[in-house]
Amino acid sequence: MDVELGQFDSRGGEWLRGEGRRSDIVISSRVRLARNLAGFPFLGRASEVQRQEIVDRLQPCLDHLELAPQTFYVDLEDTDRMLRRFLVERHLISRELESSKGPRAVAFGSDEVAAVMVNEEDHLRLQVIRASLALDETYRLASELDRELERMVEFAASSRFGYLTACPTNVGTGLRASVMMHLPALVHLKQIERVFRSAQRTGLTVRGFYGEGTMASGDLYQISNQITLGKSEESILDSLQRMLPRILEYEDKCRDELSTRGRTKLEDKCHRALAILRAARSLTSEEAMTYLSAVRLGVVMKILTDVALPRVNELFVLTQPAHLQKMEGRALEPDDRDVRRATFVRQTLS
Amino acid sequence: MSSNTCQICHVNPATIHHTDLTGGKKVETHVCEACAAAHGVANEGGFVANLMDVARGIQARAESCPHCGITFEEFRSKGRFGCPRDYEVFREALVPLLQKMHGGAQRHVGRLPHGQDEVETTVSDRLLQLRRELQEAVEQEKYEDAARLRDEIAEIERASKQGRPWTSA
Ligand SMILES: [Zn+2]
Ligand SMILES: [Zn+2]
Repeated sequence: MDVELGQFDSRGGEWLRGEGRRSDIVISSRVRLARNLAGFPFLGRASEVQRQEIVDRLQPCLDHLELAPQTFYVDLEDTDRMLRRFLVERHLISRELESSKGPRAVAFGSDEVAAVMVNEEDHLRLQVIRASLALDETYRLASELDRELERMVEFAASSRFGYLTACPTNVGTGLRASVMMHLPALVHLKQIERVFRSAQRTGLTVRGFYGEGTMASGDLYQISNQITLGKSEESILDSLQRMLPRILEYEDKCRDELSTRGRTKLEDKCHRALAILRAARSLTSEEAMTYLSAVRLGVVMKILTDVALPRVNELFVLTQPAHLQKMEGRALEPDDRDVRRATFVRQTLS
Repeated sequence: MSSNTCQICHVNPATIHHTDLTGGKKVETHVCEACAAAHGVANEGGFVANLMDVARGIQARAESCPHCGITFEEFRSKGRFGCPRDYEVFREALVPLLQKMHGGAQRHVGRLPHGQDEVETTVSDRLLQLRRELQEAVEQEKYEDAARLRDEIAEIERASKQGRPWTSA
């Protein structure tokens, strides 16, 4: 069914709930599969008519997927920019799909766990996001949905190169697995660069909260596999999972160091951040992300005891511009947005 | 292509000529000395083999995909392929790139659709070709041809979906 802004969960997607394995550091686990319809050109060479044909063909299939608990479908070609931006902030569509043109769509479960983008870089991009460290379960669901789609449409593939994608960086499995991690202690002790370098050496990529070019916002980082060809799905997940404990341990170690060496400083930082969020009358997006990061660290380290972790996780998304404007029911100038953001944060954390 | 001008720089006169007949396909290579040297084909022993590599590379770059019309150069500048066939059409030029991107790998080892070991692509190749013809027919306002092609596409799709547990309404 078509969706309106009012139908979205006001607390954000289920993956922000903050429960599960290593949820003190890992916000979410995500798996994405890139697929294309056999017998059609890739999008760069598809005519407007063919792009529409792809959307029309996939829509009934996506309905049939019955994403839990209810499937929402958004035709992105004739939706307004605000809703598209809102979907980007929810991590339901990419910025590329938001700003591109022509026939394109997204379908997702109302719990926002599974989403399928149509006509992004590939005809179909299937993603599953779950809270905390849960890559195996996340992949399992993605793979089940993939198989279900496979019974309805033929995907472009070859024995030699696997699933064929518009960009050869995704060919083979078409699988990108990632975890979103909150790494404030590594950032604070200036160790984050070292983590990135060692991740890159093992074939992993590091991006910010909203993908490339959004580095450092809220000390949130997405770490994902780079290689998609020549390794099985299991082996790709495995290499990522082998690297993660090292990053987790390193962040743990830095958190320990912060709390033993400069306990008062750390407590001051966390309490001060919470006090600002509870008192400010105007907050820029960047300020909000920075203080939320310190509050989140305080909550998981039990320095701050009267704030629930899910509320903090949700605020990372709910304080984004399109979300604030949705709450207000109209477009807001940046200054008014900062005031609205401060009010919302104050209400949520008091 | 003229055999007088170098196929690499398109500027200097070609002074080195080579004809390769392996595989029953005649491949002619004409390059200047500077370009031959730049491609490491100056040393006597490896001369022919290297020149053949260079020749194949030139061929691959100039060829366009019969299904979508993209050339390898176009792919290189955009970073995106035009259709699934391109992986086979540009295979030789592509493999070194894939190896660079994927840590040396050049062959898929994960799962394939329906858990198969092999993928048969003749039907989808045919559909790709028919869709291109259809697009051309529409552009040239040949509506009878277009209608015939649409029927043919629909027919092939119906046949290839037989035996599937789910068919679109
Ligand atoms: Zn030359
Ligand atoms: Zn092609």
